This record gives sequence, C-alpha cells and structure tokens, in this order.
Amino acid sequence: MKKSHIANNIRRLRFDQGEMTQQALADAIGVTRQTVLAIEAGKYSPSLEVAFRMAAVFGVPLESVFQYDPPAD
Amino acid sequence: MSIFDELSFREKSILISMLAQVLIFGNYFAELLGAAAEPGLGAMLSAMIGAIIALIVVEILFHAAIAIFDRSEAESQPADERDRMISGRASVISRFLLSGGVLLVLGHLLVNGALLESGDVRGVTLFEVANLLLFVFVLSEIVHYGAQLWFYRRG
Repeated sequence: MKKSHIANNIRRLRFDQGEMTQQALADAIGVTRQTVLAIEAGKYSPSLEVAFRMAAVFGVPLESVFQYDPPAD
Repeated sequence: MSIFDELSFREKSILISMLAQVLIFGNYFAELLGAAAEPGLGAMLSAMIGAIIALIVVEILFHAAIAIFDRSEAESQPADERDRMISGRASVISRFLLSGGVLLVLGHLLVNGALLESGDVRGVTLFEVANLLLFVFVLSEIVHYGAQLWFYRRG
C-alpha cells in the first residue's frame, strides 16, 4: 500500500479526547487496533463509513479528521 | 522482544498457517521425491491424508497457543475492512498463481499425450497429475499467506 495523500489529525484528536487509546478508538468505530494504527500513520485510507464513524466519535466534522493532500506534480 | 511478539494476532495466525503448510507439505513432497519407486495408490492416499491431518492438528494447537497468549487481541474485533482488503489483494496474486499452475499442468498433459501417441515418452501417471495439482494448490496457499504478511508489514 502506497503512502496515501490523505493527511489526518487522529493523534491530536485522540489526545484531545483525554488520551483516548488506539484500542478504544478501534472498538468505537468497529475496526482492529492495527487498522487504526495504519490509518493514523497514513498507510491506509479507510472507507467513507469508517471515516465518518471516526469523526462522529470525536464529535467533529470529517474535514477536521482527514484532509486531502494532493500530490505535487 | 522478539520479532514474533511485534506481530499482531492476525499476523501470527497467518504466519503459523504458512509455516505449517511449508513444513508439512515440504516434508510430504521431499519424501515423495526421495522415494525410489512410485508408491501405490493406498500409500499415496495415506501420505496425503496424514499430511492434511498433521496440518489440522498443528494449526489447532498453535492457534490455541497464540490465542491464550494474546487473549485480548484474539477476543477483540473480527476481520475488518482492511483485513478483507488485504486478503482480497493476496487472493488476486494466489489465484493468478493457481490458475497459471493448473494451466501449466494441463499443457503438460496435452503435450505429453501428443508425444505419447508418437511413442516418444512414457506418459504421465495419475499419481503424478494428482501430486502436481496438489503442489500447485499448496504453493498458491503459501503465496496467499505470504502476500498477506507482506501487505500487513507494508502498512
């Protein structure tokens, strides 16, 4: 899987939620901890449904969680 | 901390399945190639069934062991969208190998059949065909596991 062009603020948002663990976030959105880890590291782009679930858990709009970072070509 | 400890429960499970296939069927094919003469149908069937039973036993024992040591992960989420995507990508590769292998065996049979009519070769036995197909199947399974591990490690 190539590094995606989608940036995210998951680490900061987890911190803002009282240092929510990756496992707690994974349980809340219905994926494994390894998937949260891969999303957070920008190595995996989740489905729209998972992305929206994540935004709902943090209580912020989708754009606050993920941002499109177009390739500079 | 060993490399094995760094793997997730799912990666450990895949690695065990892959190693079990490599060791058990590796041993099966090594014995087959080392045999002085072609074993009879009964011996071949018992060797094949023995390998399959050994595979099932090894998988159950080792999966039970890692489930005990990784209880929290084993009891957590079932396969999610990323697991399914990785399995799907690995399946594309292994299916390509399986199809290619079966076509090669088929081609081998056809060429052999044509040469047999001209009396140039001794022909292919059903024993060889069965084992060639088994080899292709086992190889595609091993590649499926290997590709999954590769995709998990890449991200």
